Amino acid sequence: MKVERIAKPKAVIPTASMADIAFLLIIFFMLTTVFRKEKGLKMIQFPQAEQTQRIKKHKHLAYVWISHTGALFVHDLPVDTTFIKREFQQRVFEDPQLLTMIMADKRVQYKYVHMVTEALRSVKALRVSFRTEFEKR
Amino acid sequence: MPLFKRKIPQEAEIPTASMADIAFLLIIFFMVTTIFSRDRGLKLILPERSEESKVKIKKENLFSIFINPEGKIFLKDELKETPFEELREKVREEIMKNPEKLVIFIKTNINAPYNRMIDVFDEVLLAYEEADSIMWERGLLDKNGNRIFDEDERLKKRISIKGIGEGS
Repeated sequence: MKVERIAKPKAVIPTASMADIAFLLIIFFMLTTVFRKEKGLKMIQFPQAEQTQRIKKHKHLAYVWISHTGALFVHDLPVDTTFIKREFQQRVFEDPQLLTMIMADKRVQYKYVHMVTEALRSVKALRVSFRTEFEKR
Repeated sequence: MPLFKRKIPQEAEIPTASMADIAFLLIIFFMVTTIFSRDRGLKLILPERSEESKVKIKKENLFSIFINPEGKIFLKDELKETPFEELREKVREEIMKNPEKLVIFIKTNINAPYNRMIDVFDEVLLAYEEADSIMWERGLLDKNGNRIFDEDERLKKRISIKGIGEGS
């Protein structure tokens, strides 16, 4: 009796569509990429809060940095409250929905945060957010 | 020797084998440069400053929390310090007594640590969350028989902050 040899099928991974998959992923990352505008301060420790919310609106954000010594920074430059008033008056005028992120170090005295919030109040930049980290219990 | 060589037409081809490699290289570039949004925090609407829009709040609708320079907490006009652990429960009780009109005022001494103010603010927000869920379960109604929740079916948070101390 003749033994039939079974032809082994060749295993092939189709690579033709690989490029398409890769390009799809590229497009995803291109759309979700936001290049960082400000460097910010590196040594800052944010306070922790359980009620921390994510802030989605990227367009309406402005940042004020407060270091642990109480120095104020806007656009990576050291500033004073007079500058903040002038700058944010302009920005609120351009975008009434402006949300100011107060990026304050947790070790700072409340005095400096108060100075910033008062400056913002005086130019009617009333929407603020205190930058915090998620706290887990 | 033949005079005319027949030319074999060559097929034009673009090599596509390396296409995936190019694409993956680009992916890696974008993955490395992507920063996912780091924007998070505690939102608050600051009170307006102008004199004409000054809102008078009745004393019974106001609940003040004081933070002294040492970070100790005092409620309303109590002289005794309130331990941080009891703060949430006390605030929640106040919210549930008067959910429609109560305004919580966090008054921080300018020499107090900022961290403490955020802790207190967080506790107040948590108290609102707790009051919200308790009242939602009980289905509380206001005097006119309407639910006291806003469009999002959430208890409206009325929180204000202020710095107290010299020169403020």
